[in-house]
Amino acid sequence: MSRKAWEGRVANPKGVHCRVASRLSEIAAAHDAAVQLANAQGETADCASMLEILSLALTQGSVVRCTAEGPEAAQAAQAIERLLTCPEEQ
Amino acid sequence: MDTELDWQPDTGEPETLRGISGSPGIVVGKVVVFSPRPDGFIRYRLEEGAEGKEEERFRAAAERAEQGLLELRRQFASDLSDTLAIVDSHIRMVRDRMLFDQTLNLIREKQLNAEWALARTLGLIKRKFDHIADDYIRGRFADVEYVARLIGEQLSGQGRNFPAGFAEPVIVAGEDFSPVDTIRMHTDKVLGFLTEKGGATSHTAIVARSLGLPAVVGVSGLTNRCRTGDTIILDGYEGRVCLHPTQDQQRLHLEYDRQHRTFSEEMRWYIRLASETVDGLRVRLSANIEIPDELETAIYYGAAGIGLFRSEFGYFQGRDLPDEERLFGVYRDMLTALNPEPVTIRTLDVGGDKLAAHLPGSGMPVVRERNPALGLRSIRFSLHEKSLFITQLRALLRASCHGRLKILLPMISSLSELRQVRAVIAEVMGQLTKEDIPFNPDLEIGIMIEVPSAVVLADTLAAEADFFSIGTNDLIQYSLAIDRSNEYVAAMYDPLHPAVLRLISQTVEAGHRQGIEVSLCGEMAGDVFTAPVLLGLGLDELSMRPSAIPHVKRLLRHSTFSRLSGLTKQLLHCGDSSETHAVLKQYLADNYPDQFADYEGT
Repeated sequence: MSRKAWEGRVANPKGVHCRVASRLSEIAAAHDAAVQLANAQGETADCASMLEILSLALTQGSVVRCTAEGPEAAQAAQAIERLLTCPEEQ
Repeated sequence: MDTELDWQPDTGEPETLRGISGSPGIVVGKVVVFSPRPDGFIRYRLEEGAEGKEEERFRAAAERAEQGLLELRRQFASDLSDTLAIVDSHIRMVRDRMLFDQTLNLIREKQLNAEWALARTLGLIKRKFDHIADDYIRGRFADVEYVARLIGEQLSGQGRNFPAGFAEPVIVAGEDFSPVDTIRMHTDKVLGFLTEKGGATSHTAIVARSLGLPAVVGVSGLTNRCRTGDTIILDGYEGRVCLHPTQDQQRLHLEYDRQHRTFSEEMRWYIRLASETVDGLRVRLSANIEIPDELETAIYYGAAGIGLFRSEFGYFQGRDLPDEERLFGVYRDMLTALNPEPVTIRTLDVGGDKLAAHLPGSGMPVVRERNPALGLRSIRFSLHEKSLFITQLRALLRASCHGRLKILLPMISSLSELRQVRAVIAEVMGQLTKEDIPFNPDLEIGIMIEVPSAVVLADTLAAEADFFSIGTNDLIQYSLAIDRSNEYVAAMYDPLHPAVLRLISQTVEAGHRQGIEVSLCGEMAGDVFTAPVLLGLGLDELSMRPSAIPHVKRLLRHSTFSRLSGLTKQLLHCGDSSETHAVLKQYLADNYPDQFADYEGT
């Protein structure tokens, strides 16, 4: 069982809104991995739930931590990192 | 009843609560207590073991909501990617564990019905979102609310879904039930009704009687002492409720009910007989109905037509205002089924506030009224919302070719109102002629006599109306200034008040002088104690709940008009309710000693 984690800052000017949260939950569902997101306050969300992600209140520039566990942890973590931290992906 | 003094701890011992008889009959069964619902979600606790079925109901509703969104998605062109992304996020929300799993948990662990569980889940999510500082992200709660509403509509917005999650039929209890509630109830699953508020003429009682289900209303302290799942005896004859009954009590009550029903069986003999007195006075006995489904019951009990169809039904069924085609279909089917007997359809008789509250997206004006009974309602509302009225009139006129239609206008209080309506009808007839759509140009247009001013001006109105129908429920309220749903003054609501009898008499005379028929469609038409009085007053038609027809017919067939009019003459000379009651009591004891031996007055 592999584990992959990263920490970064949210790039999207509007923060993690419905559309981004929805895509994050899609990525989590598409990979064989359990993915968790956390904000600077240490609150966590299951990445499969867009409502939990929304309630982390991730605004532009805020710190986000991602932990993925499972056979496809690396791919999932990478796809999520790209979506959250690269401005051109928004 | 003073609930503070009467309150006893729930010991599981038999205990009797008193209320008002809303509809006769006795049932023993489990009760479901409905809680108030500020947000439109109906709330009650589930019976033990019913959680699985309720979870299934929620899953199915979520599935339908999801299908609806997918359908919406298909309708958008693929170049509207921004809109599509929003719809996609809504689709994902339906199954989101914060919404979906949390609701299922509340159903399973707290035994909440699905609507309640969903409402509470939404509340929990709101609390989380309220803490978000970022306006834009916090604002996304509106999307969650939207999705929850879609699921909620699938749960309760369509058809008859209450009470769900119970293996056996149940007694439904609550503060009061609105017309919308009762329309949405699956009446096959209801044994009887029990309400904390209201009187014998409250909406719940009227609906219960028309469905032939027992009801007890006005039981104060009810919702505090009754719990969902309790077995109770509901005695609609006496207006009593027995909590925690013993086996013996249950057996006894059911035996008493059987005796009453046997009496009803004997009544069936009268269904096919003519409705006339020994000396040949014929009176049309017709039925009041609220929903088209009741037509069958009306025919079964031998109704000579429909004296009152309350057309509000069509307006409270769905999420949108009914269109002309839908109304036309309902009216046509009723007329066809009863042809050649008349079907009297009353135009929309509702306060604008009620319709606006039920159809928030319809653009109906929301008028805050201090006194809705004296406000923008009934025909006033129809004349104010003319396009809504025209839709109903077009449907009615188109249906008029399929049987004998009588259009009844509610709450007419002046001649100019009647003339205004006639002008609108003429306009609609002109439209239909131009469009080459057939209708019966000679259909009868009559008015409800339910406002005192209409009685005073009955002679003038009779010259321009094709028939009168006296609505005693409202006429009594308006003339005696009694709100029958106010428990403190409800007892003063007296159909035998001499003023009421004189108002009816004046209306009948004014109508007959102009050669038009006068009907009466209030509750008192179906009451065997007051029916002799009405027959003596010379009414041409009495319209009542279907199951009362054989009872009134039996009475009519055992009467002579000369004696009935003698009774009436005496009553019209009375100056007080105590006198009218005494005179009637004496008359009944003299003329029907077997039936009314122990009559104590209504």
